[in-house]
Amino acid sequence: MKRGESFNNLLNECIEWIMRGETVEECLRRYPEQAEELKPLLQTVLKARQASQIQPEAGFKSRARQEFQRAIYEKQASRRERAGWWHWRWQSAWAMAIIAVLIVLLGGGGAVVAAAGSMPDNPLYPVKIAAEQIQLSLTFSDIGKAELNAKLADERVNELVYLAEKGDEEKVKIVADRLNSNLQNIVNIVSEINVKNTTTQDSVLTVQQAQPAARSAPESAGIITQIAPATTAPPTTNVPSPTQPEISNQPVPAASAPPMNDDTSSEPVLKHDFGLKALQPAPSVSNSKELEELKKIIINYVIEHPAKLEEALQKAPPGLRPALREAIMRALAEYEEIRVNLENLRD
Amino acid sequence: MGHPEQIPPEGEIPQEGYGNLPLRDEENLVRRAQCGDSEALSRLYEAYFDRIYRYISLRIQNEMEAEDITQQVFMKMLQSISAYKVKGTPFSSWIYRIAHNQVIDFLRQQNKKATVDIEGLPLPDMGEDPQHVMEKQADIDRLKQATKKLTPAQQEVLSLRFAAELSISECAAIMGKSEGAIKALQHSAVLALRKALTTGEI
Repeated sequence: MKRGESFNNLLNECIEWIMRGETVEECLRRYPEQAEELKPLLQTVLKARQASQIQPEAGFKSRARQEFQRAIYEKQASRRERAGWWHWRWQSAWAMAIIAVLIVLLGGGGAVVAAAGSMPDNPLYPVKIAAEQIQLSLTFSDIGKAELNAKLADERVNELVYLAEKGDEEKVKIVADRLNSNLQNIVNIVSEINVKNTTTQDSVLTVQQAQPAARSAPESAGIITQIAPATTAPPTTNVPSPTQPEISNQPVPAASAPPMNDDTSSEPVLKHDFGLKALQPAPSVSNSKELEELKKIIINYVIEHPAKLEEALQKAPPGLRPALREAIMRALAEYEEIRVNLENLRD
Repeated sequence: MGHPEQIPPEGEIPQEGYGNLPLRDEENLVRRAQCGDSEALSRLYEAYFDRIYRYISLRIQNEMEAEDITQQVFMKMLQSISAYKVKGTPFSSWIYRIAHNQVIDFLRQQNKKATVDIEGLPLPDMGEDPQHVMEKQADIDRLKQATKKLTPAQQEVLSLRFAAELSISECAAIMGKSEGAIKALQHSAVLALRKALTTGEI
């Protein structure tokens, strides 16, 4: 091997270690003979690596996600027209039902029941997770899926509380990832419902004057510490069209909601409010019972989950707190995203 | 770092290449996405969005353009995912190839006249101390300015390695070069970047 090639390999190996979180000094200790030559290069790599962690702006992420959901919906709509949606759905439903029956017939049914309340350190826990996946696959309505994901998020929170007492950092991170995944699913589903509602309205409505509307939610992804009452606005204006994707960059009218007073003395004291008042189910926001039910569940969990996790954080051993704190921060950001999307829902 | 096509076994924490999602089986996810499964499409989107944006952002100096191109990449992914061959190129290489082509098209259209939008550059983390945020922003600005002094291939390899966090083999697949050539290019890119950062030309 030529000298240059050999050094390229060595440099690359060190870069891999740095990318995995090793310090320059630790890398240099591995290769003391080449340390002098490697040091300035690795310092540059570290700078480049740190400065490359550019995060997209939260408002852009939210708009881009909504446009992507719209594009998915439009693609699905055209597929359904071509292939016949119900035929596929019927087949899929039966396939999953047969799988579920087979699990029961092959003796897995008892295990599934026994696994229902198992915690992550229990050998039956993977069965519980698998059963949840089947349940998700057998749930077809958007709101049903969102509700189920909310209930699974509740399971994950209970598991995190349990793991906090046990002091198992690795499992805390795994469960926190699952919690985040459930909450992201809710964000995506609610966003998709939003797009469907909007697109349906497009097909009904003809020409309407756009009316000014303020979006009450902040676009930053930070933790929400203020009550964000929604601005009253008629829900059928400024509607994006499938043929005008750029319109979704415009402010989305928030759902109508009555002005809220500041008297929260009878409510639980929370460190993070999430604009809960803006989420309160109001008859003018939606005429869908399912949607109202979903909102109730979310409100309940938005109150319960941070409180439970913060309580667990206080009791957790010091070594576990960073992982738990990160789990809480990620969950708070996702709940805020859910809140914004629910606020934007229109009939 | 960065092997999105390798799925971590049960019980392990996904350390890299998955965004925040515990994706167990990316191949399965891609197959579902090819059938039009919206959840699978959304999960792929979430897993790649930030890294694709970082990669583009480092190549395109203008934030608005970087945002537009990022969105175009995912729209193209949606349009053409049914044509993607699961057993062929890794999905990560495939989607970065789309991003690479979009960037190249943009740069061609711009006729190599890079635009700079320093004021509008995205902040690294909105939840941090403002002083820290400003320092980080200054680092990002310096890096972006320094990379402009590099050749397009050097810029590409730095973006793929450090912003997109891809492996040497993934970079090789995207850039159409051998792994040895990518390692050599990486070496020359780091040297050139060091020179650009330290000579005070920026």
